[in-house]
Amino acid sequence: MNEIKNYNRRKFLKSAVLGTAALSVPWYLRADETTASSLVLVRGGTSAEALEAALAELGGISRFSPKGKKVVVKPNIGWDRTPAQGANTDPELVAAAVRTFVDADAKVHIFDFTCNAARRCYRRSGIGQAAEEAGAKVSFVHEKRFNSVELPGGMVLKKWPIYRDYLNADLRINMPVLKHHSLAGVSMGLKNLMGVMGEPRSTIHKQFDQKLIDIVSPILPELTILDARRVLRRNGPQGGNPDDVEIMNTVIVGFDPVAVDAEGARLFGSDPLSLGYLVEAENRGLGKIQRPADFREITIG
Amino acid sequence: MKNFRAIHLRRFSQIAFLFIFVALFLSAKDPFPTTIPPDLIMRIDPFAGLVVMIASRSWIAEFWPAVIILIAGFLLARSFCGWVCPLGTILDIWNRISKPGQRRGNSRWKYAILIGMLLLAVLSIQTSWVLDPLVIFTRTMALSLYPLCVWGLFAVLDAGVNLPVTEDMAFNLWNALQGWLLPLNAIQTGLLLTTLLLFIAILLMEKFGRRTWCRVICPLGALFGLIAHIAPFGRKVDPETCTSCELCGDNCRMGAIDEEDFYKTKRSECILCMECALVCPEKGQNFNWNYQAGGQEKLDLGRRRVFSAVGSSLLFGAIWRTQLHDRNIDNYLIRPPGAVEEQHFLDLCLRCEECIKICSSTGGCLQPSGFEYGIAGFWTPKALMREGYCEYSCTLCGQVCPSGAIKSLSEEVKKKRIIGLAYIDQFRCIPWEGGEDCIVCEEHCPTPIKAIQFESREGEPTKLPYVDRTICIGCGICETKCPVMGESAIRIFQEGEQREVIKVEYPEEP
Repeated sequence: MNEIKNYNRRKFLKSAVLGTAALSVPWYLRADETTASSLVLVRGGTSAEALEAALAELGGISRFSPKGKKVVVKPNIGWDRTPAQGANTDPELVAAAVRTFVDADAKVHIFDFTCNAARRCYRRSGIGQAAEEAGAKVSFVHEKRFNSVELPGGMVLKKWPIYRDYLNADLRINMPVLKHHSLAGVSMGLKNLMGVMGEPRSTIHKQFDQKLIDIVSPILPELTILDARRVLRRNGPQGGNPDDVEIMNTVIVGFDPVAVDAEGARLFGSDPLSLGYLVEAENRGLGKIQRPADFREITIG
Repeated sequence: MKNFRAIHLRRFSQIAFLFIFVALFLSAKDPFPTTIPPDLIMRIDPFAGLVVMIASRSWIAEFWPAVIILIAGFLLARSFCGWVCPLGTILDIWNRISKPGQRRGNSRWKYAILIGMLLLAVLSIQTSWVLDPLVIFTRTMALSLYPLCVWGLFAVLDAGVNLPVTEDMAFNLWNALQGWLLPLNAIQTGLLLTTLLLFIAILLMEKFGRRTWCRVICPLGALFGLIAHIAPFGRKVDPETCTSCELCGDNCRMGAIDEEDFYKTKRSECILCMECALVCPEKGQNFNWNYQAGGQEKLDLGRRRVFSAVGSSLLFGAIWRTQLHDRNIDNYLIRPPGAVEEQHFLDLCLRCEECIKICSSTGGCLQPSGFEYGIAGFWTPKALMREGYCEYSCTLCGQVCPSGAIKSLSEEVKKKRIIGLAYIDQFRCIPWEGGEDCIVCEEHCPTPIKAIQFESREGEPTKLPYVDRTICIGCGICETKCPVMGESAIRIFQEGEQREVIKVEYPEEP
């Protein structure tokens, strides 16, 4: 209520002018502070420390004014695998993200349309419990809660069912895990959005690059937190062999989903330009593969 | 007034036990309950236990609760039928809804059935599943009533989810019920109608008279009847007060009261329902420890019945064994991981369908077989991989199996247990036939080194999948997830399956 009371004409005009100016720039290039970065890579530290440092570099989450907002945090909970196996997002990192937004008085909702039996995945990944304890609402994906979304720029697909809670959110935080995938090459943020897509998902693999970008174009997240703490290098996307996991203790956070994925690919040791879907995404103007000028790299400890 | 309370106690016991049985049934889910094992429903069954032990020639320690029930039967006669049995309770409830018939004649056919089934068990043909009441209860729940109720609940919740007003409430309720009552999605089950119709037939038999099933057919009741014959607890009429009004005989649902001499009780028929004590206007009937040879009627199985039981079971056994079994059909017969060798599996499997119930809460691959694998295979679980797959780290079916037809495997052993092998049909596979990328089978393959690998060919950019049969365990997730319409382009065949060998320790790999 205070906000409304104090909202006088001058402030309105000021914000209207600023807002219009801001809207003319792509949202991920907008920065509240001149010192803020748009893409940060943090090495070392605990999950919570790394995330905190990264978000501070990005200008803090206050730029999203998360108070009272419906925030969807979408980790990868796709597989009935333990955190050490690197197939799902690190539960501690998910918990840290949840706490950050819960502390900012946002309503955080967590879900993923899993590949293995949902209850097994939520349990063994540790994310179900960790997110709930951190204050998020954790729910399973209900097969009747998908809305058919028009894909205006779609090259192959014209519409696809997308999970309603994701569409209705005020703020979407994508929390993929960096890992090998035999078709995508490297699975990261854009691939992780398959967890909000409805069935028949397995048909997306035919003409994968076009179809994936067709669907993600209108549903891009506002923030991507790429978990590269335990990286599954082979036998992805679900792994299972501890030898395939490399401990990298790295987190990449950014506003541009394409830039985050490109940085992730570089970290993984792949040329982002070799990943068809990233090239496709850049060609359609979803983001930039090239490392932005304000890119920051931090090492903790 | 004392016995007036007894009948209430009996009704309370029936409802309480029905509630316990339903709760046990529902507790068979992922994660496996750590307190009370859900298969206790079956393990209290002395008839099923006896038959599978004779048929498999092995002592099955899991049936220890049945031994307790049997000892209780020596003291408390057929009270199991009147106070505990869920099928009996359902029949008593049904009779309050639908008016039953008036026939009271007790039949000795059930003893013939019991003798016949025990004889078949000696011939290593296990048939207890056909008529065991606890099996029928659990099976009807698993294959018919539970899936139907789940569908009903989903119908309501789905409607709620799609109405803006109730959306959040319905969704939260659905989410909350996930943990214990509902599977993620509605269940589809085979033999639903068959199982349901047989159950309805048992209900309709009540049109002949109350508890027709229990009086005429039930082999478990027959077993208790044989024991009850020498049990000390039973009905006693006070000759001082009896006015020979015959009300007790008229109201006995089991026909246990002698039609000529109302003082006499057929101990092997009396289920101690206490109805006679309730209706007696003089309150002249008591149930107590009063073993009196004179107060009960002799049990006569009837020589002719015993002969016909022996004859027909021998004929039945001969048909069972002689019937053609086409091995071609076994191609896709995938038994659950930890299943014992087929012959022993058929000896041990009670067809209680608990494995199918518990599987529906996770991977959802187990379905009942029909007659495609012969009479012997009817209602036995098989993995139907196109509908669901065997979750890599799941060991639930072995944990819930009451008789050890599916052995309980540790997770480490289960992950290496081969239940079949995957074959790719290259004429249907998208990359092989269409030259387009797919990789869905490879992506889902759960073994640490994937059993599905890609063949690289010169000038062929598409990844062509093939199965490394030294790694594949036949979990079937590839068959479930294959995006080809209709029949999957990758299927699990029986080839290579490993079965538990009964009584021999299976070598556990580290």
